[in-house]
Amino acid sequence: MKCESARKRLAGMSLGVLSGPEQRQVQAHVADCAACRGELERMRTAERALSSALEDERPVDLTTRVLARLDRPASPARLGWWLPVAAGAAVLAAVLVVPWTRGPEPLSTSEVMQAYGEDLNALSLWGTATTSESEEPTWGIPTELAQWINN
Amino acid sequence: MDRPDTDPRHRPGPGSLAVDKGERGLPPQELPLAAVSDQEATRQASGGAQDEAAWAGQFRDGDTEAFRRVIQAYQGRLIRLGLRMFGLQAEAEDFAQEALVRVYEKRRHYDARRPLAPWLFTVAVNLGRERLRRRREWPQGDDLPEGVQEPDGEQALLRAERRQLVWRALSLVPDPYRECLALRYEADLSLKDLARALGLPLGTVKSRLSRGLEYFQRQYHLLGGEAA
Repeated sequence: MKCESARKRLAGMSLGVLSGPEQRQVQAHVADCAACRGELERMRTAERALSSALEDERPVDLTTRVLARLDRPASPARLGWWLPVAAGAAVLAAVLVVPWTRGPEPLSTSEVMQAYGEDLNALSLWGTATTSESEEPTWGIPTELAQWINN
Repeated sequence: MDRPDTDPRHRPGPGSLAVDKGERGLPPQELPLAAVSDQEATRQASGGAQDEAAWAGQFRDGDTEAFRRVIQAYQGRLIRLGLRMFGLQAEAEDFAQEALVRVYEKRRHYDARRPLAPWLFTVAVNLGRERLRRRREWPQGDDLPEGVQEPDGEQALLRAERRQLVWRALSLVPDPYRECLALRYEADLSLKDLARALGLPLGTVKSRLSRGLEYFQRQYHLLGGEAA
């Protein structure tokens, strides 16, 4: 193994992630090459510093805090992006679908009279009805019925 | 069960021929005292691998007492993972809390026949990535991380200075490499499980670990790390 190949593997060697044959090759090379041996030592110094960086970390117990968070309702951020999207979709659906689920618009009195006015007048039950667009139809108790009630 | 029994933060020393084939590290008797104690604390919380298999199933079913054991077994490693990823104690603790809450919420996705750690750290590292995407900058300042004990005496002061150098150098390692190194040191996973947790091929993980350490080593020595 040449220096260039060995140096590419020094970090892997320090981390212990090389395969067995690779590790043996690097080992054999650094045994004969003082420069690469020095580089390997530098790499191992850095690796030891990194691995032991948190040895003095003070212990922290999160149990109470974590269990308290389980009892808390989820915040909007934790509910995720889909909730506002779903809410918007529901509103949109309501706006679009509701008109189709309602019955037909009630007919105006003019329309009723156009359709049924003659028949109603013929029955003489609703009094006289007009079908003019400018004048609302007049609904009154037929004279005969009023007399019958008064008597 | 493919979880190694040794602390992954301590690699083979100079001259060692130990090879990582998914069962890393030194036998327990060769571990530094601090590492054994840390590992022992986790074991006590989890009650050992066989016990963990029992209560991990209960945790999956929503048992609060079993979840309490999950918290106690993994909170330290999750906080340290957060420290290595984000650099601030407060953020690391918040990250660990959120990771544990998410682990609980997603517990139905956990296959209780398998070890808990690989799945749990998969959830955690995904959360860590989300946070890194939201926060592009490593915190500035000379007192990083906040979580370490106040230096007391000359030796402690030297350790604190060395630690600050480590933190400055680590802040200059790009996120994808730093997350690999963080998980390698704190998750106590085999390389295969590490690759699964990161969602990367095994070769990519090895490559990122190596490149990450090379980045770190360069910065560490440029900042005067060797002399510290």
